[in-house]
Amino acid sequence: MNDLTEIHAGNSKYLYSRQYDCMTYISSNNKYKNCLDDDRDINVKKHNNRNNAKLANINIYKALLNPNQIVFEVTERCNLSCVYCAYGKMYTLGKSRNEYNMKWETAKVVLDHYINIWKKIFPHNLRQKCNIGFYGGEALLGIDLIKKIISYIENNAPKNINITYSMTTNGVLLLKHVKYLMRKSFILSVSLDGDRMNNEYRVFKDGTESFNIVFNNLKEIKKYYPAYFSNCVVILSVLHNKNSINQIINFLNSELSKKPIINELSLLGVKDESLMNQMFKSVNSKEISHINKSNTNDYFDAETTSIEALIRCLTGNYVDRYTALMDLNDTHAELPTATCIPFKNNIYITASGKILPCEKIGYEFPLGEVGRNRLKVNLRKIKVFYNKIYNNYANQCNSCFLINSCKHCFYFGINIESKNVICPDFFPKEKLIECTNSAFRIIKNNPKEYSNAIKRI
Amino acid sequence: MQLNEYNNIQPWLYIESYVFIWKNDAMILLFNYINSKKLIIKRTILIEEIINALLKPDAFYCTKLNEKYLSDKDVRKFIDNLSDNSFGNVVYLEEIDRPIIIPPSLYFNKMISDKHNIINNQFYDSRVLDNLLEITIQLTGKCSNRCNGCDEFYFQMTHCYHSKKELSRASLQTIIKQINFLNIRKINLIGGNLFASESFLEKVEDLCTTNSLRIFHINFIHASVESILSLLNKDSKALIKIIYHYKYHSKKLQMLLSNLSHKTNNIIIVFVLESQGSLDKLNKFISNDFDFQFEIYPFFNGENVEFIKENCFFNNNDLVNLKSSKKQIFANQVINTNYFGKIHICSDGTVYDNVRYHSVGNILNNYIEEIVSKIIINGNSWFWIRNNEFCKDCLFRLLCPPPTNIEGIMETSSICNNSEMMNLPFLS
Repeated sequence: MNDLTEIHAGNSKYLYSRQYDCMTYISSNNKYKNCLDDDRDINVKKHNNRNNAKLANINIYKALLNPNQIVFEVTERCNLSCVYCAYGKMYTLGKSRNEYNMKWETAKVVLDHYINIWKKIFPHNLRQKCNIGFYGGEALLGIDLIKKIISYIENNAPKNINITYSMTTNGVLLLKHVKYLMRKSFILSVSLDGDRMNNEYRVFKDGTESFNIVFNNLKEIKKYYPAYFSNCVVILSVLHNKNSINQIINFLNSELSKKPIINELSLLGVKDESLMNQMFKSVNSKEISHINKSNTNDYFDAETTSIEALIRCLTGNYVDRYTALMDLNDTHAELPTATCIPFKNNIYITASGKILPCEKIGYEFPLGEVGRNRLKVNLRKIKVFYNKIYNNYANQCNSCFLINSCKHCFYFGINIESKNVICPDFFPKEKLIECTNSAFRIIKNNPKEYSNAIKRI
Repeated sequence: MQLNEYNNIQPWLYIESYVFIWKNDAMILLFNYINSKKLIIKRTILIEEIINALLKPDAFYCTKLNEKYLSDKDVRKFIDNLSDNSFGNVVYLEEIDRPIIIPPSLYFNKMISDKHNIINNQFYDSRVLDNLLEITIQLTGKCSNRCNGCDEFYFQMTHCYHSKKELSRASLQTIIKQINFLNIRKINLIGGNLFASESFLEKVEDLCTTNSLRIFHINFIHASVESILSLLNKDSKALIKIIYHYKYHSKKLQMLLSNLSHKTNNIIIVFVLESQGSLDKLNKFISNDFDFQFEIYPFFNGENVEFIKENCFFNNNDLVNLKSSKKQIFANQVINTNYFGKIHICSDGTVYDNVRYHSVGNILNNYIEEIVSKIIINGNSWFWIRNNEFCKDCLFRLLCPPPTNIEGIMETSSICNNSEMMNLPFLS
């Protein structure tokens, strides 16, 4: 790709260089290319071709030994039947659920595998942090298994392993089990979409609303265990046509003193397109422009404004780790997309014993399964699969302007197993121009927005 | 250049986004990070006003020029200099069309810069241990030689030093196990006399199980053809740095190297220089078809101040010829790239982020995560930047290489031979 790209932002023209992370202003009377064309004799950022980068067995092996989080889907069962549930009628995933409960034997094989690693392979003076997560279905329907898993860990895991627990729950059974969860310092992610009207899609199987029960549970916990509620309870809200960002934030702030994490409905694997069209609302919707972004942006876990995108991705001014300031030959950074090395962050065990990269990835992409006595993981097969998908993506990555600040996981692409894979986050020249235009327009109208964006990042 | 103002169209001065602007009480430095060109300007009241206006957060490297500025001779010269060297220019536009230029300015992820996050184990965006990049391990302190300056060389470079301790093979294996869980790029192995280390070749075999680059730093007086070949026989990917001081016989070095001429890919010669005489000898030595890669390290022995100043310190000419990339400039604001990510493990397990300072723990007793967290929180040599009294107002502060131990040992706060920056010429 030619490194110099001309951008028209309003009535101004710029020349953007990916190599130098800079945008040169083009005026009628300057020799705009001169500087970028001469004296390129210093160590500048290299944009390596992604075609050649490959994942190796050793990368997967090391990650499998030492994941940041092990998540157990303790049951497929759920006491709610939310309209937009990823396992419900709205999505194709619904077919694959069979109301399984995870067997203790399955969990034990996984636990023994890691306890063995921690004891025998893991150096005694390398303190490992590992989070054990519980997911469902509704995880609290599997509380007996959860207790058994935790008890087994407490009795068998070596002391240099700093184990923490987390759980995603709909909150219906929360009050009943909160003392136990608090004793084990669980980090709880509880789903609530706002007030009663906002929460109408979260219903029991008979169609009755769950709001009163969940909201009262949360209020009780806030009242009787305020420190735990404040430090360990996170509210997850889904944005849709029955709520708004403002409503969610205002309600949860005033009633529970909580800042929610707001997510959009997932657009992957949608079966009922018309229902999705009716319900879907983007966090980029116009309503954001009516509220103070500096207050709301903390709540989004995915979206950034165009100015933030500009700072993070196009100026070369944003650094997210010290080592990014060093000249390192880091081969991982050159792999196409930002997909996690399998198992590095997460190993997800489904109720039926499949092993997935994480809870967000569909059942059609298992990386292995839990056998009778061991984890069955074929490193070579995973390597070949990942490298094939990387290869499918490589050309798009090479021509993407966000190549160095990519956040795209390849599992969320379209036709990922084909050469014609489509990356929904692909950032071509047209998007670069659109983003720059939008950011510069905002900055011109209100220069303080730039400082606000800097504070947010 | 015609500088007019009519109707709503006004002259705007803008600076390009690849230009850094630094100023002190007397001067202003503009630095183009693409080609390393510099423009040094004496401050006048009007130029200072313009620079201050350009640097306002809401200005975006662009400011309106009124008649007061346009009629000033120094300002016009300044603008001509900017324009001729592609640092910026003047454009005539309505305010609505004024240029927006994003200046080069480092923004750090809050999660990293907030050390509170590290203390509370919430450093998850970039795990603490991901910052550990290079380890130096002293396999043994044992050595039968008693070289002058033995206890001093390793403060200034990766070098052997004497101690009574031996790192056992079991302890090394424990360290290697940890390395295999981390992203260590480079492992430096030093002695004592490395070849006198107990079970040395078995230790080399153990080290081969790591994916890191392994560099054995061997003092010339300990080196023999047989010992080096036996090491390379065990670890064909190893890099061997032979440390040569000019007090030793150069003929012996020549003999050694001629017998190792088939291993030039594995061997680097490190010349340690203490005097002008040794530098002259080196020049002669390497002029004779010298096939090996080599590195040169000046050593301050307490008596050769002039030699160090002459060969290592910067004069004005060096400063104006400094080259730097945007990344290097950003790094110089935050970390010391000479030391960041590196730890030194002594043969008794004691760990240092910098051997000149206090120990940060013991690898055999402390969790390595604790050690690295401590280094990051206490911020010693990993974050040692040029913010001392002497450097803090210097225009070249962020272009200069980060400080090193040699400055600390010489008890000097900079590597400048000349602080009279006022004498610098205008550059273009």
